[in-house]
Amino acid sequence: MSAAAASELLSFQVIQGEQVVTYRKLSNELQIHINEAKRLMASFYDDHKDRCHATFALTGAKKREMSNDSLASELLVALVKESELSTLTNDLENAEYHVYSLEPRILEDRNALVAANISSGNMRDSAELGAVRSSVSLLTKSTTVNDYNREPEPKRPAAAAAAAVNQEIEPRQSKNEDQQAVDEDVAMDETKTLDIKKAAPATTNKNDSKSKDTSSGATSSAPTKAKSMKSFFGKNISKKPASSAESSVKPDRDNDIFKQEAEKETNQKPEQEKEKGQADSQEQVPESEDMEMQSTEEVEPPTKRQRVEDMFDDDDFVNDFKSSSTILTRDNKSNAETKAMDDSQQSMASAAETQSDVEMAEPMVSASEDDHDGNEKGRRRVRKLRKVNKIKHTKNKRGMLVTQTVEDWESYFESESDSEPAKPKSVPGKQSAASAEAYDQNKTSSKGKSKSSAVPQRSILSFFGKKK
Amino acid sequence: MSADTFCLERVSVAATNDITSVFRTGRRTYGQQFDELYSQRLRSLKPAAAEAAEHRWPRVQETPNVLNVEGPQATFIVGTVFVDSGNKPSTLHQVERERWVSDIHGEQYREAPDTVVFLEDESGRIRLVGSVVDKAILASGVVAAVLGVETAEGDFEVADICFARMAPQKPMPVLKEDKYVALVSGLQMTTERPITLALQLLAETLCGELGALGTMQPLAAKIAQVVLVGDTMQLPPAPLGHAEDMRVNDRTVAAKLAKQVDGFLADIAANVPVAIMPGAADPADTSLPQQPLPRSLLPQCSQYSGFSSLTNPALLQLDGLYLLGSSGQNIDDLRRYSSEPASRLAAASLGWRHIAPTAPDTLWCYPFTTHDPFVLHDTPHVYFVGNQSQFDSVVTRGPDGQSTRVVMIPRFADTNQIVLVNMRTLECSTLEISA
Repeated sequence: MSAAAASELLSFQVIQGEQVVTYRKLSNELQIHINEAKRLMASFYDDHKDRCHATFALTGAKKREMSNDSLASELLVALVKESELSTLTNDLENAEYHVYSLEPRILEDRNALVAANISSGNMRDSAELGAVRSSVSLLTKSTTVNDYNREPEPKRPAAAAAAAVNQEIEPRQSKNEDQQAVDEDVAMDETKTLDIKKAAPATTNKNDSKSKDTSSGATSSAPTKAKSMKSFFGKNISKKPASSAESSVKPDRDNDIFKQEAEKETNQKPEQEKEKGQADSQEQVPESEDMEMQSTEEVEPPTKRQRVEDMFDDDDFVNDFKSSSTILTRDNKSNAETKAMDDSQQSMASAAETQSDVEMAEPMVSASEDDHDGNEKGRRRVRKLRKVNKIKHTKNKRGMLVTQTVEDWESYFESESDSEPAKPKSVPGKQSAASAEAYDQNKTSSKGKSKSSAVPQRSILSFFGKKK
Repeated sequence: MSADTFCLERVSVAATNDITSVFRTGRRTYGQQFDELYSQRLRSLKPAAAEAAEHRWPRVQETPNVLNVEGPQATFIVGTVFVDSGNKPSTLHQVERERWVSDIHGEQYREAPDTVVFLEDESGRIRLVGSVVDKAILASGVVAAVLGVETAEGDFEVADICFARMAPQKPMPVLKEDKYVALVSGLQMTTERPITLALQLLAETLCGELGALGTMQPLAAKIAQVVLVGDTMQLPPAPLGHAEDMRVNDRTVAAKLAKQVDGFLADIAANVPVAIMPGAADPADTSLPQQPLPRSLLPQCSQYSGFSSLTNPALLQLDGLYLLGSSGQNIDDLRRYSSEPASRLAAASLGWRHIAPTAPDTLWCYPFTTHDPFVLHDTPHVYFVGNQSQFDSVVTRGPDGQSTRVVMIPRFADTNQIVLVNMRTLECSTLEISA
């Protein structure tokens, strides 16, 4: 029965279809034992020698004159044409051969066999048709493997907290792609690609015990799932929280980040496309890192900069970006003002400015009401925003420091009446007012521009001052 | 018909997984210097070397510190050999050149005209002179005992050298049937052409699909373990650049290659236990001991119970047989100190009780502080070295009846050969694939 099916298939594919058929392909298509496939191919070839050509697999031991201590035997597995078969068989002991493939004409280029083998499917999928039974078994989730890679990874409560933080900041989206490059961790890239790679086999192999699917959350961590991947710089990165015994704060933080990153990855992947998911997770990572840094840095400053990228990760840089990036996306002016204040707090401004900013916070709250810090009668201080050029330091794709001047919004205080001529002779009133004006003055002088450029237009006659 | 459906049982071996590897580094720190490694090495091997020296030169007195050598009397000193040569890689030379070259090829360190051989211990170093020194197989980092006298210039004229000699060996297990270990090295699957016909034939042979029922398939059924000894993947060299440059850090190439390698190896891993060791070209550590390739790099292979990822060097145990394996970096570095054939150098390193003595001098390695993992406390039954230019095998014997089969495994990508070691007799056979 199968002989008829085999010859039908072979004549269809090889003779009519002009394709190469290997013994594995025949076995796979007809679901027959490979030795039977070989036999059927041989009989087909005997019947149809004029119309097709066969490649044989010849095995045997090379003949050697003397026994050698170093080498017991030299075995050979060769693919030969029929013409070579007899000559080579004579050179070998225990020579055996069988049909390897059938093709319409002599194969000049054996790469066709490579393709044919690949199209025959995986050997592991048709293992029941093989001649040697496997001595290994497929691992299920329940079985554990004592592996050289295994390292114990106890759960950490910080992981749950980190997960909570992760959930909070997830909705925030920053659209500024350039600044991603600064915080984008090389290692995170690696975990991302590996994660994506895992998704593919995970779908095909349901009982993948090594699946990294962390959808079960931060709490599940079977010890067998430990895989310690190394970042580019040789540091261990664990998907699950690493053993806390030897880890310093810095690696803990990193693990948190990566775990969050992994969670975000798996949370997003089912919902979004891969590219979008990558972009999202990239965008969210800097923010999560930012949050993490702010929370842990206050607790315990990192003692060692173990990763090179950490050396570049100054707080100034990071917070500068974050806050400045959010400035551009916020529509609400008051929010922008808040952010601008934060920005100016953390930018590389002088201490005097910083001090004045802090004090500005108070009048900020009660901006509308108030005269209590007015140093002159009838003067009301209004908080405004103006556009100004700021110097920003970024890191480009190649990791080089780039200095750019960008336009940015900046808050300043201004009296309702003419502030500019009054400024130089400001009466020392309350401390805050003076420092606020000093701040304004500094800003004015440092920019080298007159304030009138940012002041809204009033009557032209005001140009002539109070003399009018 | 029954012959067509006959299925052979593959032999199995007792699990190899309970060897705790001394080559694991765990969490690494680099704040320490390498002097700890050297002092641990000397501390481990000095007693054995001194004992061997006393045995060899019975009535000679040892001088405890190399610097205290004096007088016309013959004495022996024990210390670490250090070969100083102009041909050795020097960071100053590397800085002088514009681009940093990652490794230096081919130069013999001991052939430089300014080569000097010292013997060092904790107190200091003394220069060794004499024809015996020039002819001996020596490399930096070998712990040796030298017999000689002090010269007028303060050097040490050497009359004889001896080493710690082979470590104690566990008795060889007695196996009732022939079981083979297939040692495959240097598959070097490239990104352009990962799967070749030779590789496919190899996979089919190991799984027992190729071959007739008379000889080849039964032989395949007797293969109990396959070890991939280094350089399974051949990554293109990464472009030089800043650490955060996107072009340098593009790992998609390696990831794609790893996926193809994984798919290929999973066929073999599904049928026979496979152990993979990292090599010089694999995406693994540059410095010894290379840590195991992460299982997540080969996810499909990792689903099978017999798959294990090993360090380089690695110690395996199969049914009581101890095998020590290396992907070849240590022997390749030793070949720069001596022009002897590689198998002789490997055998000599067993006599030195140290498989990578040139680490950390000219072979990059991790600065261990608590122990030197390359010191052999037990001699293995088989010592295999991968990624060699051709097959070679010798049996080396020790003073107490130790016997080790040293096997040099040729690169599959160059020679299309693998090595089968019979676990019962320790005989080697080569299997060549001719596509």
